[in-house]
Amino acid sequence: MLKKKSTSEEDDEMDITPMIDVTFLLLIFFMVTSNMEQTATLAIPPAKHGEGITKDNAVILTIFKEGDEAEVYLSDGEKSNGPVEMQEVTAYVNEGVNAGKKNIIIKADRDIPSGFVEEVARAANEVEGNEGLKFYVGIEDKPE
Amino acid sequence: MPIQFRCSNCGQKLSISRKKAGSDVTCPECVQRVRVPTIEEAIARAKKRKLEKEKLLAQQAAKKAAAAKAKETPPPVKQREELPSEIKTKAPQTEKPKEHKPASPPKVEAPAPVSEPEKKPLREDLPSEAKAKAAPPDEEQSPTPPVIVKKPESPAEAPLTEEVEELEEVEELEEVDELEDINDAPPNLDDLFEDAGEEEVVDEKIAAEAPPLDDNQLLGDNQLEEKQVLSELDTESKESSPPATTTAGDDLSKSQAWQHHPNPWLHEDEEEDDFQLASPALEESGLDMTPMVDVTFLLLIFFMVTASFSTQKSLETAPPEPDEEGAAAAVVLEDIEEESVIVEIDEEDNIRVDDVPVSGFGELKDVLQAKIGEGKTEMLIEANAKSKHGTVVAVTDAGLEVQMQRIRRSSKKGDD
Repeated sequence: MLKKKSTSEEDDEMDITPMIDVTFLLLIFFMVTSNMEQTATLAIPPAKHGEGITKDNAVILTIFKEGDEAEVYLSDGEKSNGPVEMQEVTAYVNEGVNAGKKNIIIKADRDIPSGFVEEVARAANEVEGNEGLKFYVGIEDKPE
Repeated sequence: MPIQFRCSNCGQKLSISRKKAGSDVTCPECVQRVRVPTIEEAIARAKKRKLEKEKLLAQQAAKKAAAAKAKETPPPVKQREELPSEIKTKAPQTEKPKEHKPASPPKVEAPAPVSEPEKKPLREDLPSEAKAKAAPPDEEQSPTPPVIVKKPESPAEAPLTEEVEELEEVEELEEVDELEDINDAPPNLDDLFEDAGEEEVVDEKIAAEAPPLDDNQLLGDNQLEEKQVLSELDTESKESSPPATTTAGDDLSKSQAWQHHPNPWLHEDEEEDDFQLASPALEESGLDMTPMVDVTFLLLIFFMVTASFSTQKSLETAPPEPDEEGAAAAVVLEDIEEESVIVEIDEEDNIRVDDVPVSGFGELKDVLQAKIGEGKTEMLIEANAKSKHGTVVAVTDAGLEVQMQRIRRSSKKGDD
């Protein structure tokens, strides 16, 4: 009786080997890609003591280095929404502040002149309600 | 030796120690008080059965031809007579119960035929019919509730005394397990058959068909099954040889035992009985990978969720000084000189700490550490506009590492 379904009626058990293979593939993919958040062209300076800032509450500006020029993008590590001028930066930050965001993260390539970064920061600061704004410099986590 | 009889209420075959003959016991099936027949009663009953068997035999022989021809379903009473031949043709189906039966075939036949013919009358007239079939004459009442056991095999033909001798003694009333017979074809008819067969005929052909229906106690179903068997037998008229199918029972049991070897490719009967939803084959696989899959999924979900897409590592920097304000909003250098370390970064990324050049970030850190020791817990970074952003970040990081309390930044645009 126990072997009733051994031959005639038993539909073979589903072989889950392919499923496991796909699962592992996905797993490895996410393990690897979760650390690569920036495009290859953006070399964010490393630092050890960075603190994690949730992006939900932050306006993110990205500064790429194109040749000798720095280009500001109103995006998060991607070359979209840019390059823009300082006025657009201000407008963009204004939008974010109006939406309730309190933090401004500037992700700049490490070879960009700090003066430029300051300029961008200043432009971002020219919004209304800039009292409670906090400025951050996006870094790459560099463990000891 | 135990007495075997039928409960007068439910017809359940019971077996009880001979010592309890004549007393009352509680039937485990219907939970009613049942009187255990005495030895004399049992003997009388056995004789009656014998007579009936002989009668049936004669009738069966006479009706065989009729049964072979006609396909009609005779009345229940007559079915009994015709069934024997039909039953024998149905051996395969009925063989199974025979397998379950222990003991020798002859013994199987004996009690079965004896009991089956009586079973019918029993069911029809429960209270009045013989209760003890192949039961020993002695029956005693047991203090413990009766238990249903398998009917022991003993030739029904043998006089009661013989039966009595063959049966084992059981001190408690036991239920006779008759489940095996339920699946068989018309039980009653088979019983009848076996009764007749025991005495004489051994029909090997039919033997294969006649199932050991001895113990079948189906009530209502018997009628239907009998009819079915009858129709089958009609088609197999040739095989409906002497009703002696009872003996066929003996051979039946043997041949049936062989024929009814469970065919692994056919599960018709199995499916009817035990309907199992579980697939046991699953348990046979060597390595159960279910836990591994579970853990893998867990990890996958973990990494999907914590892919840190939503957090950006950042260093907090001082809000930029508005260009227009110039030095107005800036802190006067002199005021903070006592508490702050001034780190200057020129356009070539050379670092100077309090006007002391520092080469390398390692040294920078040491210097800053020393400054901390001196009580200067604040840091002011004056970075040339052309200095690299990365350098500024590194200096800031170094300051954080030495746990500067406050890091200010003043950007020099050219010359102040």
